[in-house]
Amino acid sequence: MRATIEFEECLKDSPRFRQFVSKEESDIEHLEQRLEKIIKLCNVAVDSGKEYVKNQSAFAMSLWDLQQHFLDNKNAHNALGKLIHCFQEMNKFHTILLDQASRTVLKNLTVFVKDDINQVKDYKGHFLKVSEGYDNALIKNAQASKNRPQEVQEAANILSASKSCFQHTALDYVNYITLAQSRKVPSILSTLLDYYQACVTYYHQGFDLCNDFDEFFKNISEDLNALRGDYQQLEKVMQNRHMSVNRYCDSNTNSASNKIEGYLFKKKSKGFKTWCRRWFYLSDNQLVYSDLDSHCRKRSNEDSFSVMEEDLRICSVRPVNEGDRRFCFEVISPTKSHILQADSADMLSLWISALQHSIGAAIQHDATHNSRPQSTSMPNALPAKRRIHWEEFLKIPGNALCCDCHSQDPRWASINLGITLCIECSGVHRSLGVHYSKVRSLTLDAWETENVKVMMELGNEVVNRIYEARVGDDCELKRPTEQCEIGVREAWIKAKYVERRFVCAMPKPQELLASETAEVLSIDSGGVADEGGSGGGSNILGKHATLPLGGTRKWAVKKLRRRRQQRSLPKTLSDDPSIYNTAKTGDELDEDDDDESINIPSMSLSISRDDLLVIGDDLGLESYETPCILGSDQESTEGESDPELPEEVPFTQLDANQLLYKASVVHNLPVMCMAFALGADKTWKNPQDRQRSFLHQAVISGSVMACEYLLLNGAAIDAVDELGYSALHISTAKGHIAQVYLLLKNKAAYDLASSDGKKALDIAVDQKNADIVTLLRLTRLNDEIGLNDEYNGEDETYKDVMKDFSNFAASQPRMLRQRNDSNTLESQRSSLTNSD
Amino acid sequence: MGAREDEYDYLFKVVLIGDSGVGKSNLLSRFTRNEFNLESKSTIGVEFATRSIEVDSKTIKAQIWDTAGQERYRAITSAYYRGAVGALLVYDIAKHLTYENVERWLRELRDHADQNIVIMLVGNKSDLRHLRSVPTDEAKLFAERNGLSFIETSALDSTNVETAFQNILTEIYRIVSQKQIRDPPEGDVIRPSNVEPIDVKPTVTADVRKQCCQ
Repeated sequence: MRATIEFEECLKDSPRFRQFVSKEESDIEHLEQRLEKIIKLCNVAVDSGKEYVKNQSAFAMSLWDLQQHFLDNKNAHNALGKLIHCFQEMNKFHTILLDQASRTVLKNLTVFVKDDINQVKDYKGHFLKVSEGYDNALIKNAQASKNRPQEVQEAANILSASKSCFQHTALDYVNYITLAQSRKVPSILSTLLDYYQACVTYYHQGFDLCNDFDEFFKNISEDLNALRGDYQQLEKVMQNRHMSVNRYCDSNTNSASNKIEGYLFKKKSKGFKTWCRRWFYLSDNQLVYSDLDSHCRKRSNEDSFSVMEEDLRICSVRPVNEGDRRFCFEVISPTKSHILQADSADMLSLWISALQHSIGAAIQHDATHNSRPQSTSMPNALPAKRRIHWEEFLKIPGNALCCDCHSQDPRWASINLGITLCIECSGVHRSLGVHYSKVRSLTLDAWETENVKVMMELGNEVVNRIYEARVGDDCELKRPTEQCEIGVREAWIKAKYVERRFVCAMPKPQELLASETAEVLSIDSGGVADEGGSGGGSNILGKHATLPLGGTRKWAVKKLRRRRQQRSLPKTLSDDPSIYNTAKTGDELDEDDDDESINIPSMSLSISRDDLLVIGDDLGLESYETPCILGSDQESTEGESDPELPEEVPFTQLDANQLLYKASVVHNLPVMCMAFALGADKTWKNPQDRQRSFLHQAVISGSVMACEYLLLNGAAIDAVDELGYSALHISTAKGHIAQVYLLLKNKAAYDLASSDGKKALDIAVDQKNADIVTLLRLTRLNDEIGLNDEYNGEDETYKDVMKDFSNFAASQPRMLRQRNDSNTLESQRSSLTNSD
Repeated sequence: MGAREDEYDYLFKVVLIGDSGVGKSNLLSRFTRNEFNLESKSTIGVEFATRSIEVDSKTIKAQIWDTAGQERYRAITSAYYRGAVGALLVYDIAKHLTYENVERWLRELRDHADQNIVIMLVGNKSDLRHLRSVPTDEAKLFAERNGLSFIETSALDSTNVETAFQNILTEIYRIVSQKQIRDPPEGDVIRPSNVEPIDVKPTVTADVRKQCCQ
């Protein structure tokens, strides 16, 4: 216990008192400094603790992220979750501890310093002031003159008051000091004790927490031991696998199936003849490889898989022994050859036998008339958009049955007629010669986009409406059937396409002018009409309607709209082939042999105004599902949505050539088909329209398929008009890249000069159409190189580049048009276009 | 010409690329025709020229594709780079921007050309000494860093034009001829000798592709 000062000493203001006071003061000062240091350090500790807690919680958060990684492993996920929970709880406890520390140590001590110590200090000032007053009073009292009793009296009074005040103040001061001194121990100790308690609580909480989870984590460590065992076992197995490497190769060789995949070195056919290693596999009768190299580095702008051979049935494979490299083999198709290299002799023979097996299987598979497996079901299915599935062709109305004998599942097509055929009829078509029918296989041949488009626009139903319009008039011929003799088939096909015996003839202009009405036959949906039957009227279901011609003295061809979405086809069409030839889908206008009415052959008519007969209004435009292969992105024709009616022509000029001429400019393929059936002259030029040919017209229409259709049917590609412009000139002037490409592909003469001495290239340069300039120059270059047959590689580059253009033109026609428009010279345009 | 111009041992496709106005077309005309035109027009699409040179007593025919530098006169990009084995990436030493754009052209090469393509960085218009804005050392360093060969040329006074083409063609020849030593000869894709019988099942449909109406 520390010494205190006697009461009297205070009152006496003895030196001991003063000594005591100053000692106590310095003692308190000392204490204050220590306490302030403690508060400061405690603050630092709390702050760093908070920092620690913050980092801990960030750590826990990162563990959450880690936990997401183990979503597929429930146990690990669970265990991690618990651990994270623990860590977060502990963190929480720590936060509480820090809170307690700041609440106890900091707060209490600060209060002690502020209240008790500062009180002493404050009072010290007061005490000193009072002490000074007392001293002054003493001095005054001492200086008081004996002669002035009043003064003496006054000084004595002041002195006694000051003294008493001083004594009280001194007592109070001592009081404060004593209080502070006596309070410091309990308040400091209790504060620290509180902090200790907080610590105890902290550890206690931690202990409880650990107790709670004890069981769980014990289980986990047991599991871990088990896992470690598994891992060691796995490690052993993995090590053993090394030993099985050698065995693996052998066992792989034994599996003689056509399922094979693996890395092969592939020799590039152009540029540097470098070898690159690619992952090859067989899929859907195709030999396919991944564009990723073995390090998964992707070449940009390419699909991740390339088809090396599209149809294994037309391929053969053989080992290559020439050359330096070992284990090479060659895959040969009619158009290409690829050299591939396996890693070993075993793999070589494995690949060759697998390929041969696949080729054999594919051919047999095809022979049994089973459809090929859907590519979508294949594990490594190719992106379907670029591939045209032949089954789409059969969805076009009428195409599910052979156009001539109506046998099921036709697998062949005539690309210039736009029909599907069975194999027997296709043979007859071939014998007619390519100027009548160009036969292709639906399943084996590679199809160009423009040919597909032609097929889409026509189809057996549309074509038969034209080529079999008068079947029944000509009864001496028997319609071929699936099983009929070859002679019947030949006679029928010849009569149908060469003699065109069943086509309704074009009425003479004077007949047209004379007749007052056009008799039409409208049929209820699904109904059966006796089409073109003599005497008409025999059909109960058919309803005759008369289209009053009235003042109609002009005609025009309807601009073709692309086919719209599907109404399902009438059942009768697919169910009963015997009535097929007369079954019609939906409402339709038709003609009838009637004396008073005109007989427009097999075409749909409508009277749009008082004086205009529109041909081809619905012909072939029965809505049906547009096969997905021709989405609007491949649309390369311009202005089809243009509602404006095309040019009108007086009846006096209605003949097959005029019809084809007008149909070409509106790319209406069904009407074009009809005009050909009516005997349009392929070399005809329009004397009233600058000697232009059908092809000129089709080029103006902007349609690729119309051009292709004319070219397929023998239109002269290099025909020039009176200004000496060929179709290539005009398509160049109009900036129709896809058409330029088509014409060049069909070997159009690019060096032809017009009467004013312009070649297509000059026009393209004038128009600054980079793409067409490139196409034209490249074609010329290729022809120059072609003179020398020794080098074939460049030819391939040319083909690839041309293909790029065709893909580009087909996929981005709008962009091409915009590019073109911005560069077009208007004068150039108007001089070349049909602006009548 | 005495020998037929078409006789050659190798045909290499080389593209000329670079910004508009750096002198690609004049480099080409200087090399192939020894002509220079101060007022040449913008190239539209592409222009071609060929010239044969001798390397190691082999005739190498260079088919040079002079492409449009101006964006709106360029055809679709992939066409330019297909089958190209060499590229002359040209900039104008007096126009710093054309040098800055070299990176962009390199990117286009990376995206569209064969990865083994030989690239030569060409600083053209070296006659414009007083207007130089791209230091030779800087361009040389850049070329080294990017694995390109480098040369400065002047199509106007013919400096280094011949050398530039000679160098790139020789470099390509070295690469290709080394490959050919290791690989079987080109051209005769279907060789008659050593043909092994192939097990193809006889069917009606197998061979149709070779028939008429292709």
